[in-house]
Amino acid sequence: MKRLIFEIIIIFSISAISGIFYAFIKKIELFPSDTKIYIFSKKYPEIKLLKTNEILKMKDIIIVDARERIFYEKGHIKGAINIPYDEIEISFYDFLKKLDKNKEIVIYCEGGYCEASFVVAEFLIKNGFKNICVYIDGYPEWEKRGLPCEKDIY
Amino acid sequence: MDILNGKKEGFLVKKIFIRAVCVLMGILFLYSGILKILNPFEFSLIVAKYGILPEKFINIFSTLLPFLEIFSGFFLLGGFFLRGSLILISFLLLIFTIAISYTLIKGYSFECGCFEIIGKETKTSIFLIIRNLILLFLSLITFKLKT
Repeated sequence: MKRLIFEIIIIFSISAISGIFYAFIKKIELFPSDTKIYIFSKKYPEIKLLKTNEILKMKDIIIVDARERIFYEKGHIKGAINIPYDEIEISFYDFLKKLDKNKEIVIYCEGGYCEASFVVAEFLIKNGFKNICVYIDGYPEWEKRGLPCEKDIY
Repeated sequence: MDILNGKKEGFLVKKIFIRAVCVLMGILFLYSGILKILNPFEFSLIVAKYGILPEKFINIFSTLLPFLEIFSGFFLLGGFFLRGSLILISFLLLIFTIAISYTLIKGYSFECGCFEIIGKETKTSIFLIIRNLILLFLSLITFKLKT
């Protein structure tokens, strides 16, 4: 039993020391102040992340809802267009191609660690759009704050 | 004489079984750990999506876990600290199984962050729970035989 505990402690210690050393070399923050923003900004360095207050200050923007159609229909940010991440190519050829590629586009999804908006953002960047941002708090936060929302108008 | 030969054969089979399981587990965990280290933020995001750990601990967990996998895998392959490595790997498999079960109960399905190349991941599913339970069983049996 003593031998087993000794082995576990040794493996644990070597792993911990190596992990901390690796984090130091790679400049990985082990306890970032905002984990969500930290992880997304590292994984998608080319995409600008915005919080609710920053969105409210912006003018003349296109807002894109990247969630599946069923969630969009239940409620979305007022004026947002729906480009579901799983139907992105169809939407692109439908109407996105006609848009001005220099226009500021803000994309959102369910908030939390939802990645749908980043899928759409990456696709748009690949297709030549220049000002792509992701609203990191997502629809739940927008709705919680009582900001303008609407249900589907189809 | 026959009894002696039988005992010798049994011992040999047991030894081969232990070695085979250790090599299999070793390769699997070494590979899995290296993939996670090569894609640290992809893995952090997967850990975050499970929604089990408090946000503060996501990064430290996703940075240290791959090294635990790598060293346990390395020791299993090298034949050192076998019992310690097997217990740690069993513990990890148990945690993974609980985490995947939790997501399935909550109705989520996303990349599991297991042994596949990140970006071409297997989604969390009942199949993964069965796979983990088989690996856990193998690991614990080998630990028992080794003891």
